[in-house]
Amino acid sequence: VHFTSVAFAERATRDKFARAKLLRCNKERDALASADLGHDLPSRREALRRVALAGLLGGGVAGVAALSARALDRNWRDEASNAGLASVTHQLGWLKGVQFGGCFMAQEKGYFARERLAVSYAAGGPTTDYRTLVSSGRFLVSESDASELIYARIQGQPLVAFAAVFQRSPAAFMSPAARPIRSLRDMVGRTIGVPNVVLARLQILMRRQRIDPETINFVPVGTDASMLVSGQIDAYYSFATTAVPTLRLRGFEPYVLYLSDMGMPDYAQALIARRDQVENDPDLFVRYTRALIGGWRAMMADPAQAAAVIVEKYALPGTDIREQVIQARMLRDFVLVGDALDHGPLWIAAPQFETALRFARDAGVLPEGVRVDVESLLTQSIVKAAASRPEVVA
Amino acid sequence: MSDLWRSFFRSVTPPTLFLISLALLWEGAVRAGLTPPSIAGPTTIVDTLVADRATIWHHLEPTLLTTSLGYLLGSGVAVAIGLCVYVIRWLEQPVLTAATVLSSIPMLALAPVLLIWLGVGLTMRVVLTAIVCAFPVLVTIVQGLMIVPRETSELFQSLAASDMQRFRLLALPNALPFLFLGLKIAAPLAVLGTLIGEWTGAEQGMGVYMIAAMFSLQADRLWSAVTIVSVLSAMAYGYIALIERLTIAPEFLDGEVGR
Repeated sequence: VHFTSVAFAERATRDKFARAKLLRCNKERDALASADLGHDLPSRREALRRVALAGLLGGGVAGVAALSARALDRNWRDEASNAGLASVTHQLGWLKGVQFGGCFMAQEKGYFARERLAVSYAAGGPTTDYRTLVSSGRFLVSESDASELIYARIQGQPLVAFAAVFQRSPAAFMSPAARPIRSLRDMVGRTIGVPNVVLARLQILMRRQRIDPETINFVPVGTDASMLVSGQIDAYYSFATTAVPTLRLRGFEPYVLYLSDMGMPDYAQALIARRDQVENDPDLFVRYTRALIGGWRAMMADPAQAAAVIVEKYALPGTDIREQVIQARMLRDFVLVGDALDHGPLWIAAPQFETALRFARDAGVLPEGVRVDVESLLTQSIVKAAASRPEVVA
Repeated sequence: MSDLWRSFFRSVTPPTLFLISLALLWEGAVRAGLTPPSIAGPTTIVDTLVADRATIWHHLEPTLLTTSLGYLLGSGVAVAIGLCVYVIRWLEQPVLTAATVLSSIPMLALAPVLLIWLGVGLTMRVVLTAIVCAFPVLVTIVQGLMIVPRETSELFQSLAASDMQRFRLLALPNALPFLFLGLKIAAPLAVLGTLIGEWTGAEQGMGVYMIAAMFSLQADRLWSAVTIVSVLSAMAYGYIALIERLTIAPEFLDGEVGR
């Protein structure tokens, strides 16, 4: 009997607990039913939160990983294809285009391969410091004109020019053909966009021609055509070869006043390198220059065809082919003129550097006691060697 | 849910209507010839985006990579420094001073310095982006870790919490809203840093696309690029904001905002 009563009591207790539990469940259910459905169950909400967070983070990580993998893969393929070749890194003076046509045509025609060179080109931009990039050893070759090379020399940069692409600088002032600026004197009373480096040279000309600098409103803008088109400025400084095609295609006829016609002859895109590197491995520079001479000859032989190849394979996707063809046709007047007619493209000689030095002295940019002689600014030996042996000894 | 949707619509509708009317006005002004040729209208921008999508994608890829790597590096380093400052208290002033000095260098001036040091390449652009991103993250995490409510701090004291417990249960949760604020500020900055890096000379990237468009007077392309970059910045911000909402307990977030 005793045993039974204990068992009964036990069951009763269990039932009581079960009932209570059931009651609690019902209460919860009722509460849920009457509650605002705007609130999910906390646990479901928590699970959703975790899934969403994991998805977001996982998606982000996967995306970054995929992008990195693609970049790495491209890098490895480049390295593999360049094994066993001498490396030349060249910081171009601007965005890739026909302006550097000789470089791309040399690549295209296999001239670099023939010289056992692996050449890589980096595009430049408005804030690229070309000379410092070479001085610091980041690039083997870059570009400069004579005047800016002198400024770099004054700053103590050990650079030397060994070839010149543009025998005559296409640097010019572009103004509307309807309101042309034909001379420095025409600039009086107008607003002119010009970078500060060029302004220093203009001021010497103004002094020589007795023009008060205060009468011209100079604004230090970059080489951006939109201010001219919108009428905010009356002329701006740029390479005619890049500016004229752009402006013409937009139905804007420009008048071009070349700096060389204003009494400031200069090279443009003179190839520069560090003097110690040229002296240590002249053969490398000769091979590179020889390949480039061939490239520029190929470019000049059929500019339109070269432009098509460059736009398709080398320039930025989206580069305007019409613009590049017009530009390519203009280049002959700058690349194959003067000394280049006798000695071939890329020839370099002292006279233009002497003129630029005279300018620098007159401008007072050469400090007292600092002597810069022409011989230290350029070397003819590379281009002479490259031009004398145009055929490669295999 | 219905409440949530209603509040969502209430907060989204006015700015959307405002933007749409702005776009209509803009388009009208362009059609009427009231704007200079350097400004493209919304329909032109959309047309260009569609026609140029392959090119844009080609340039968007490296920009995305640089932005995300730079952002991760910058905020990662900033958080690590923040934790060091939490452990070694006297570092707070020197670190914040150094960070302020670094961040007061204009980004455009920073680019050439890095260029000479690291050369033109992905590394330089990622480092530039990281430097640009790190400052807001560093300042906010240091502040978040250091500023702890007094009452809670006293509670931890009286309960004899260990250093680790104090960090895990008090300082870190308290710092999260601050940290996310910094991360949200840094996200659009990462896009800006990437563009500046690309302007200094890159082969590919939205910055390169913009410069090419600018110098060949292609207003339509320039504006398309600006549109893409703005959307990218907004998306970067939105992504971090979303992670924030999902990470921080809503009660805490609401309390923090003061709703």
